[in-house]
Amino acid sequence: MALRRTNLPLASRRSTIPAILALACATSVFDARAALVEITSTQALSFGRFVAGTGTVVISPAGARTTTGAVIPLGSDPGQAAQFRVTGDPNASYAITLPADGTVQLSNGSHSMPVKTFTSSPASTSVLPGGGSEILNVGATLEVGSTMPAGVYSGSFSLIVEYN
Amino acid sequence: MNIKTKIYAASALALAVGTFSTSSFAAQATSSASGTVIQPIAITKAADLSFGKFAPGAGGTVTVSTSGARTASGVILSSIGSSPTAARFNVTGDAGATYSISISAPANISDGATTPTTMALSTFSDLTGGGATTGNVASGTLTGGAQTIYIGGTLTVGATQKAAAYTGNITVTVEYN
Repeated sequence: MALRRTNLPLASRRSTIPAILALACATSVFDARAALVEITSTQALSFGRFVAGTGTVVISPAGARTTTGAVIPLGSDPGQAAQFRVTGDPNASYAITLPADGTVQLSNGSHSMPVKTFTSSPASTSVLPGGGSEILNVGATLEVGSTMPAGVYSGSFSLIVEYN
Repeated sequence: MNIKTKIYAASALALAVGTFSTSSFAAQATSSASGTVIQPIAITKAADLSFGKFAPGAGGTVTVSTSGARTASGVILSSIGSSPTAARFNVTGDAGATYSISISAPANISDGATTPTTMALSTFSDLTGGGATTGNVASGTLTGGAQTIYIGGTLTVGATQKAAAYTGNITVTVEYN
């Protein structure tokens, strides 16, 4: 039987390359992180009860409320900061992305008030402690108008955390 | 044709690598947010504090309690054309809210003459109209969104007190707290 040189068909050549690269991908992901970074909402943001007037209601990440302008705060409900639980690799560093101004508002029917200047504690980055879990506190500023009618105003906002 | 096929194959693989590595490094959560706008607190007068008609007698005092009941000591009360009443102020606002009460009453009421003649006045208040003749309320609670402040008083009348209509103004200020 004579020897015949046969070129590998193109399909065969192509199939060997993907196998090598796929192996490289899988290896790099499994080395970098053992756990997904996760975040869940554990406490909602509330600006409490107040009489409307031109001004603002500010909730600090620590949950302290202050008002400016003609807004009158009511002691019966002083509001609270939002809280999230972040979990992931112990000692992993992560970045926090808060909502930009102009993207969040509280609404009551056709009336709405913008929520801006989100602040958090930790601020923009943090390192998870040895237990792999920590609380992220979030505050913001509510812009109140003098013509807002009485009632409950509600809305929602999202946060992103990312290993960095 | 062979070369083109190889390039497409390489490109597809690069994209797959990119997607696979970033999706596990980020996470998102959504929280609700809320605030409650409440109606402003308001106060209106429903009745004046009125001591009605009386004669000085031997001089003494005339008292109208928070229920509007009138008593006198040394002074002779007249019931004709006389209807003593306690002052009543109606407060409205956010149901269940607490508020402070500040009552400002003059030290005396005057006949309004160019050279005025006066009678000393002291006032007291409650939130029930229950007939108190002493004490003052400094705060209240808007149960059901409303509450009434009752104000009575005691006039000191001289034995030779000039006959006239004596008047003055009591101001009540309320504020959410």
